[in-house]
Amino acid sequence: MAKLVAAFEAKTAIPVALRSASEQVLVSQVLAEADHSPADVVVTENAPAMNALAEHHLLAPLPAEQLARVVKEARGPSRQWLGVSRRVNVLVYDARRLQPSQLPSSIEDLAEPRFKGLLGLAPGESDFSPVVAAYEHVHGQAATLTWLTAMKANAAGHLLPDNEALLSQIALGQLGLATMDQYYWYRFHHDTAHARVKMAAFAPGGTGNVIGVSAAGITRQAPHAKAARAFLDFLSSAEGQRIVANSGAFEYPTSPSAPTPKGLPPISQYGPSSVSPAVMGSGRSALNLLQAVQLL
Amino acid sequence: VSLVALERPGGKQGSSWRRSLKSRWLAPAAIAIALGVLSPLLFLVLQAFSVGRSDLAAILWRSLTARLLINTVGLVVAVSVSAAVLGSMVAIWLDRLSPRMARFILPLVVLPVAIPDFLVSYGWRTLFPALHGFGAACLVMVLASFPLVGLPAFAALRGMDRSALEVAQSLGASRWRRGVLIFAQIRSAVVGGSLLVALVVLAEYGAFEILGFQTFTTEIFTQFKVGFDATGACALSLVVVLLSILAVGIELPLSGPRLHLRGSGPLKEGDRSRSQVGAFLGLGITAALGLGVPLGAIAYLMLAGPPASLPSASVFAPLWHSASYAAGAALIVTLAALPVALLTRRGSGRLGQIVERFTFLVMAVPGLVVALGFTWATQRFGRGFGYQSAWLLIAAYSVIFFPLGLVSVRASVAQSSYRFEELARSLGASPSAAFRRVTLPMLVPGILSALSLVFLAALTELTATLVLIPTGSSTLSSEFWTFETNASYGQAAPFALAMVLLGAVPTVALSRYFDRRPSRQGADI
Repeated sequence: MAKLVAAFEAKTAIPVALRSASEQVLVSQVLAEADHSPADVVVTENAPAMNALAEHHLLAPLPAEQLARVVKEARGPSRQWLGVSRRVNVLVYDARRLQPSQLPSSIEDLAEPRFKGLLGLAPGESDFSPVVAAYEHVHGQAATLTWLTAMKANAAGHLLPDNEALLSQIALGQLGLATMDQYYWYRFHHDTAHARVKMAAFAPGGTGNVIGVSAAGITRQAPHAKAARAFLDFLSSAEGQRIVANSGAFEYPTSPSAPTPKGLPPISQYGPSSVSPAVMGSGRSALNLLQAVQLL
Repeated sequence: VSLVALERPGGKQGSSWRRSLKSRWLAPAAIAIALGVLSPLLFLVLQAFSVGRSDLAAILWRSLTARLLINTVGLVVAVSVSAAVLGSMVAIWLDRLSPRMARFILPLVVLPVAIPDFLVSYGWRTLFPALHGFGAACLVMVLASFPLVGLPAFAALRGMDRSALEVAQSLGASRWRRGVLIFAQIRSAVVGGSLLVALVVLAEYGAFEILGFQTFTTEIFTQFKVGFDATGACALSLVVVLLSILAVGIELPLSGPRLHLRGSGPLKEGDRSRSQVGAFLGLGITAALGLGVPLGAIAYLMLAGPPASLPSASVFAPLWHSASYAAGAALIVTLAALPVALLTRRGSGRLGQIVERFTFLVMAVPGLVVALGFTWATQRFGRGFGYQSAWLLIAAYSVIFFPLGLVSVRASVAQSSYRFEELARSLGASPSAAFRRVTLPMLVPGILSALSLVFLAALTELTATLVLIPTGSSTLSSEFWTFETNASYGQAAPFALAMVLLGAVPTVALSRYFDRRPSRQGADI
């Protein structure tokens, strides 16, 4: 985000005051500030955070021509946000313990008893709740609870705080497989080489190939609404999207015409699910499901 | 004139003087300060009432809740008892060293408070990758929090009267009896410090997340993190506040002041030499575990951390901001703690203790909730006046860390007595002069340890900082967070190092004071 802000300031001469915090802190803060928020633009790592603000009517609708610049799954359900970057949920596994032929072909398969003692979960990770929400959207509430319960049994003793922990446990041979956004795997390999930790996609179009988006929106009472619109224009412009592609964060731009980041396969190769981030809501329903099976 | 002869128990003249002084300003001031400190609880309750009752019941009535409560209570008890033991041992060991050695070693055993929990956990995880769960959480929290007991206890030891020990020894008291006598001196500091440790453990989140240990507070943050649900989180926080009321209730009967002897500084040469080797060994191991492991982690990250992925940032501006915000909070807390601590002095009845203990509850409220309370209040009632100003951030720090200052000042107050002030008054001094020249000097050790502890704790505060910091400025902790969350550990490390070095300033100053102090104190006037 710092790079995008710097490029925007250089281009438009509009000064930007940037405040950074984890998304749950930012969202709670804007909710507490409500109508008096000094914020013009809010950018979060995941769509549910923006949906939470939209549910409280704290975001202004965006112009249609801005939304038209990004792919369909990167548009907020009622036009309140647009995606800036996106990534795909994949499978990571220990190549010494599992052959490609033994891998699950879908996220549904993770509930199969053959993965008992192999599966690791990070139920509190912010990219896991969108997977749960997508599952519920496709299969309904009861099936989701059954699936979560079976996965919890498979992952007994391997419930970890975050994706970084899952990856390092796989590298240490403590875990067989886990599911997470693909950029974690790239980042992990960027830092140090771990030959045994491999990545694989689920079968194309499956429920588990969830697209995650980082999203931006304009607050309803934005004190500098015009500058805020200019900033979102820039984020979705060819120039802004090129910065996203070259950021080295292993994420994909949201503009269909933007280049594929160096070193990454085209996003279509992952066979992304057709479930849109728009249906994922604010994360409350996923939280309720995860709490009901006592994963959280 | 020997003071011992003048200490009549329960002098009538004294108590009426005491009453008149208190009725005039002390109690109202202390109550006003306590209400100010407790204001975030109001926000908590208002938020909690707006949450649906069935939602809350669905979260609370599960077997997981029972397990989380067992985890939480078990950890609180284990850590506060262990920290009390280690903290007392450290204070006694320090006391056995020569003043020059103590001056050198004190900072080494106080500084662990100035190290972010992340680094403590990271350091241990690097050494022992398999470390997780209850034992790990216990180890990390004890090593991060024992100075909260050790520092006030050492201040109390330095303020005690050695002649009583000499008398006890000359009367043939056993080592055990003399130990009991010493513990009676530091009990108020130890029990108060352990209560702080208990409350810190109740509110802790970051360290447990890294170590994969679930407590009730990690559940509160899940509510924020996965559901973006501040009201549900506040409702769950009330359970933690209830637990902390329980902790305060347990502490109350344990810490009543009983026997307090005043001031003649460090041990005499003869007492010291006997036990110095053990003291050195104990302090060395404690410093190596508490400071050496995290410092080693910093060094490792700086030398061998992953390549830089973000543009680098200067340490100097954040260093200045951290120092000034933390110093501001340390001053305010210490000034505000004085009236509350003075209200707890002997003979002032239960009121002082109750007011004081209630302020401790704020420690159990997560920093994020306190900050959101400040946000909500300034936006709703103040038209945003002062929002995200340095003053509001300092005010939030002052509320969050008030109990740290209070417990230190109280330890010294417990050793002071009105009778000295009464004596000065009877010799013709005005009330303010009597306070300034007689009581205040007795409170100096507590005031200095309050300043240092609050300064150290405020340096590492993160969540309230992220919400309330003036836009455009940054602190060492916020910069550390920026790099750490982007997995740029090598770039984060210098900010952690700067935090530790900045934290060393008041601790070194404090230890120099303890070193110099004996020459200015005496049992006779």
